[in-house]
Amino acid sequence: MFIFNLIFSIIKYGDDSVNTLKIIDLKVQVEDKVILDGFNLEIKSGETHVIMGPNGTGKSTLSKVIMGDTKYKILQGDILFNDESILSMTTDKRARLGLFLTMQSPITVEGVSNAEFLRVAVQGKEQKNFKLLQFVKDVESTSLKLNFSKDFIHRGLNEGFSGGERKKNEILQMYMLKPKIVILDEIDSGLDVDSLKIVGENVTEYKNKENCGLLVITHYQRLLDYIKPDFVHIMMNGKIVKSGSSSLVKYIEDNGYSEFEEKKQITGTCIVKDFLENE
Amino acid sequence: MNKILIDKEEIILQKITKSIEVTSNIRTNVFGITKLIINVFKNCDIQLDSNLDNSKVDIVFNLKPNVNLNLYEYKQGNKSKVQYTFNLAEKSSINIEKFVNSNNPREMVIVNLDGCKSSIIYNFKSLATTKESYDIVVNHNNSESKSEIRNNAVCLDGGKVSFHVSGYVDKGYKNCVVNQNNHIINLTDNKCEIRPNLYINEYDTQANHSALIGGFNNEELFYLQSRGISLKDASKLLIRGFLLSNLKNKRIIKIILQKIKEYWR
Repeated sequence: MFIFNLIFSIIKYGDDSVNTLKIIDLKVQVEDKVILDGFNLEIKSGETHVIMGPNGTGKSTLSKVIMGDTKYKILQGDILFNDESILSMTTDKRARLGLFLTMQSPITVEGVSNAEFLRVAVQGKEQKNFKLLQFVKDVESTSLKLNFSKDFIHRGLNEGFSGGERKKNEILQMYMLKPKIVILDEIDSGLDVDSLKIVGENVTEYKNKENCGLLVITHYQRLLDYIKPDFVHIMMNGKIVKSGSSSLVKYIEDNGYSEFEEKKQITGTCIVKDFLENE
Repeated sequence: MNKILIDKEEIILQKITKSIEVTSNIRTNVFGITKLIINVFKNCDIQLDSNLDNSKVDIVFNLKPNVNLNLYEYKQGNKSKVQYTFNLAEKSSINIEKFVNSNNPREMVIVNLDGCKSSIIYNFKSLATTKESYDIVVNHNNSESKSEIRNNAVCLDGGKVSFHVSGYVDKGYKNCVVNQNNHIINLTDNKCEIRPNLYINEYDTQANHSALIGGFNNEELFYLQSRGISLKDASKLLIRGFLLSNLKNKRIIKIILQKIKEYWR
């Protein structure tokens, strides 16, 4: 009876297991420059975290470090996925574990078709469970949902794609690979209002269906009209300096980041001025 | 489709249509050079296969005015030295798709764009495991002639490739387009070489050249791996894309895919 109930609940509610991505005291360097410095964050299934911050503060670096880009050197700290360190894992292994990054500027690979690329990626993940017919059906239905033309799947990977099409293609890949934690690195850049709606609504639909964790890196409120955040973090100089609810986004839009900046050291000029004033 | 096979020194005309006329001389001169002359009268396709062994071959294509030729070539064998000459009359054009998987091939390709508005698109692909040398000279001998030379090679094991590509436009030949794009993916420590040259003595010319030698693009590898594709499969995909880009001929594509399968098991 117990086994019957268990099977029934799995069929009814899907996989309810909670996945956790934990970033602990992360310090990262690239070309002798420290980009992330003491970064901490924990994302669980079903949660949506938004990271905002000025340009050059390390947001995209964070996303690439999570995925294991070898360009970056980890100086201290750890990244855990379900309590297991992933730092020694290669990028493809991290992806197969369930991490997924939508790139800010998805690259073009000449001569490799979308279909071939997706097939290799999905087959690599599903191994012996891969079924070609199901794959074709899934690609077709998802492409339709994302408003892609029929021939797009046979075109070169992102070859001749507009900015919007590239971003939608990232979402198609997300649907096909079914990740557990999704990182959206400025998915809204280069999108017109219609594409933004499609992308935003599909991300939310995917999140609700698969109960994945979301890390959204963005500069603007507009994407958050479609993807409702649970937590908003302000990132400055390689770490989170403030966390709060979605109201923080509005505050940033109105006031900018200046108040979150670290107090600057008094410069020589200031000291001289103070000295003269006091006299 | 016309089909010609050069097997060692023997020239076998497997299928010839009325669109072309073929003349061949087998090792008639003192240098032991096999000569093949192909005159093209009408639009047509030619499949040219060669399996050469210590052979020297001189191949000449003469295209009559207003004729379009699609040439699909697959070359294998050992230590070959081949000179190709393409003579194009007014408004004639040639589209070449060529794959070389041979040991120590040396080639000299001479393109004479003699007629006004004549043009060539040259898509060359090689999977090199030995020393290979390719010289390509494009003479724009008339106005509004166009050349698009695309050389792609992948070096493996003992592969060592050199491309010397030169485009010439003399004064008075206006509105010529002279493009060349040379790219070698070098997966060895061997030294490869590209010399892209443009000799242009006419202001009214559009010319571009590019030369790139290196391993895989790290950004491309990262992108593919971030989708769960292993390094081995990602490399295979990139090689595949690189070698198949711009090709349309199904047979050449099939041969390249087969070779990729052999080298990246």
